[in-house]
Amino acid sequence: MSVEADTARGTALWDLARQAAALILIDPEGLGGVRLVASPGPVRDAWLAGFSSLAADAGPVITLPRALDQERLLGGLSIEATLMRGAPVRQAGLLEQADGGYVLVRMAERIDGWAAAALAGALDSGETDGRPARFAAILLDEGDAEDAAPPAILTERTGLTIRLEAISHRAAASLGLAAPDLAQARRRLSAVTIRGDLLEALVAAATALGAVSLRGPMFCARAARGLAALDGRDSVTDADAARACQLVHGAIPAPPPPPDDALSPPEPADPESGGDRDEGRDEGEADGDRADPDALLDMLVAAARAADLPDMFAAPVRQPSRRRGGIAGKSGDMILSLDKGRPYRARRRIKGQAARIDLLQTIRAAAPWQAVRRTGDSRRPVFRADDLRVKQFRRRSQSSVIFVVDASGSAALNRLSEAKGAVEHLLSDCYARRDLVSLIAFRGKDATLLLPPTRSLLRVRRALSDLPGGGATPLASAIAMAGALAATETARGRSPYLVFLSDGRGNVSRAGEADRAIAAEDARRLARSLRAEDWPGIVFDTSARPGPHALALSGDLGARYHFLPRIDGAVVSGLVRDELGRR
Amino acid sequence: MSQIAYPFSAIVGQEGLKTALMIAAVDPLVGGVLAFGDRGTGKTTAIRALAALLPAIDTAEGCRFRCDPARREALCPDCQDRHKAGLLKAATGAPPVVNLPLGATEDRLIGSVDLERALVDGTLAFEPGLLAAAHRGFLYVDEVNLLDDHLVDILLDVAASGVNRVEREGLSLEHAASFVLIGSGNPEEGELRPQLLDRFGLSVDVRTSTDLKERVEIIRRRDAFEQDRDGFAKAWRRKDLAIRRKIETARDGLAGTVVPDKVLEGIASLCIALGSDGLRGELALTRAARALAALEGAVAVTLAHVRDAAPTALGHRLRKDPLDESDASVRVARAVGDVLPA
Repeated sequence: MSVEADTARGTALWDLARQAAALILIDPEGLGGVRLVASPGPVRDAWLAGFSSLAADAGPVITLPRALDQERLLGGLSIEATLMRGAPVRQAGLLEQADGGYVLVRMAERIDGWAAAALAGALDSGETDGRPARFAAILLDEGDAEDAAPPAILTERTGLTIRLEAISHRAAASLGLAAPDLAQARRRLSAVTIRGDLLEALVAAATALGAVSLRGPMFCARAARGLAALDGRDSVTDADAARACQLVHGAIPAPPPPPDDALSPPEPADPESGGDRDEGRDEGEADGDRADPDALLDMLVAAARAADLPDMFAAPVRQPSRRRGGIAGKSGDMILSLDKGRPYRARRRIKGQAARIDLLQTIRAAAPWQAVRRTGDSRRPVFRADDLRVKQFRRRSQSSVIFVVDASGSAALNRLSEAKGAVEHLLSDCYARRDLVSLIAFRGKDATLLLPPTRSLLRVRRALSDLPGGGATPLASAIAMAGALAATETARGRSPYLVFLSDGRGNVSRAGEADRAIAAEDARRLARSLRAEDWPGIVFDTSARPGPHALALSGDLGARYHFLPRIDGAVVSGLVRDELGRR
Repeated sequence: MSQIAYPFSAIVGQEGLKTALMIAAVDPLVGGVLAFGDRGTGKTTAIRALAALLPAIDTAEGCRFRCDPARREALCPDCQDRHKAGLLKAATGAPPVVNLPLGATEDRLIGSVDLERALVDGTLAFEPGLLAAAHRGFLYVDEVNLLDDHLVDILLDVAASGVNRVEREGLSLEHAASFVLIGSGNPEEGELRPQLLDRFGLSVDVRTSTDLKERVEIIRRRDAFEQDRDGFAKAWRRKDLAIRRKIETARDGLAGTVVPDKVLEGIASLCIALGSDGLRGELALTRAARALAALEGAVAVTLAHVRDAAPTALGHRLRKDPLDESDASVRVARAVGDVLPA
């Protein structure tokens, strides 16, 4: 892409980002929030700085800390203050504090499930534990990779999505928004009307774009209203609607191919199907200045597609920083944790650490000192901060089985369908349900993550229903991708288990060149780097007779080797299950 | 409630979910509703709307267990003391809808030692958890399929028995906790274990509407609601009240609704034909059909009620076959057609 085109695109994207900021400032409750896909950097900082200074006029801007505990988020008894004062001191939770303002979630893709659920609940009801908590959420999504997106319960409820990745810091000067203009737009908002046919087109556009949820068109309508209000108008124009589609649907990935015709959306662009629609549209409005519905729909869809920049998702997966020691472990290992699992034992509290108090142990620790500490004739026990004991829990770590399947060459189809069978077998066994399964296939130039880690049979069927096969063998890329995925899974507290189905003979290098020698060297180097992580695994040798290549691969990976010329899903899943069970 | 809830009667489509929720409101013993399906289809809206519409309940003022002052025999110890002292007063309010967040701890769910009283007075007291808060109302678990298994076990146990027994940290007590358990989730994110599935009374497949006209109507109404919540709620108030009356009448009539032997036999043969394990299915189907009859104001349950209730009461109890991809409700409908032809 030329420099000029790049700059032009950057400016256009920054314009979207500006409008998103303005919209969320004038209609926080209606839109729920913004998902900001961007890596940390000057552009994101510029947006946040501009937004925060304007938002601070309207209400509090609360940033969620990285280490978040339930008391902090939802409110509760402040232990230290209560001990000091000898009377209960309640600490308001962050969600409550954010009432009337904004909650900023950094690294939203890493937010804990419970915190995401609490946020979503507050976004739905405007309250938390009976206390008002009306706010909009700003999700900072660092957009590592498709499989590391923020939880869907949050992205569902935050109406707007903007991407700052392709914006150069020169384009991101300032938001150029003025507080008085915003205040005026906010007042105007409730009076803005939207034409019936436009509302219909917004609904149809969402369907055409593959957005199943009805929240999409709802947010579009709100955003379009907001845009009109910002422009000082009392009715929504087609251009407002198109812009709203860009802001709301811009980041929806292309719809997956429907499994069969039954599920495909109604053909909105088909003029013959217009009959029903006309009926529904005829309420209230005069027929006068209405645009052709199909043209309207096409315009909205095109607008949303223009904002969709799929190349963002193709960016190389960055290696997430690894948390050493902490929660990583082999499957079956007991993980000690301060919040999840079965109660295990009590230990001394480390200040500032999120944990739950073990009351009995705390009392026990304080008991011997009572005679010394007691002052006057008060019978009240006296506690000190070092008496506090916290609960420690332990749980078994969840296994994440990563299948890496060779889809190249002639036997690819058979191999893939048996791999799919193995995945389904593993998942349908209800005792293995706690494990997650993912599948990487490699052929041609590159490896693809066909199935992100999942427990859902339904998703497996959809993702693997139509698999292409044949072509060259980019083994090195597959190993690299498996390593990145395993690292992500480790960071999530799961124990990866790698299953390779391959003859071990790569002929495409990491860079995508068809050079057997470089390819082999790349594969060996990458496999050894994986071995350093000590992830367990197994290599199923799929060549006609036991060959040195797959054996070498298993050696480099530090994985077990199994010769299995005729892949059989049941055998593979049985062996994998045994391996997992042994750990 | 800090925000006005969307009116129940204004919800477009989703008849299956609405009926299942009304059945559960009429007879909470039916054992919970599981709403599995797509996102953004109004599951949360429907549940909140129903709770806002239900008749207000009397609770003992200041009681942490939400005791019913009219039922003297079921009062908690605190309320019994209050009653003896003549201080038991009733407060009226909407039935609670308690959201169980995904990351909820066991403490938060069943209750734990009251830290406040322990630290300040040095006494060991019980602080009720979410189960107590949901008593006589709804306990809503979004993404129930992602909830820790041991929490789901506790939930289903208490939902079925109506009593929460606490034996931990030197506490030993029990309190009433009868609520309608409502779970929702998206099967694409993981399925519920069959053992747990079976314990939900009813299950509804919630699909997003693919009918453009219907989708437009949903958005139109939602948009009108967002623009003017008060006005919108007022406009639908009469219809909401009609549904409330229907539920109240059905509750009163439920005990008097007869289930003839012929209908019981039909239910049994349907369950046998579907090969659903255990008796839970039969029980749930009987209760659901009876609640449905009561909602219609019928004096006796007919096979038509059974046919209507069968998909929600049995759909989730079929043996899962990884190779059979046909929809559970289709399989139930097929069996209904074979065993209980209209």
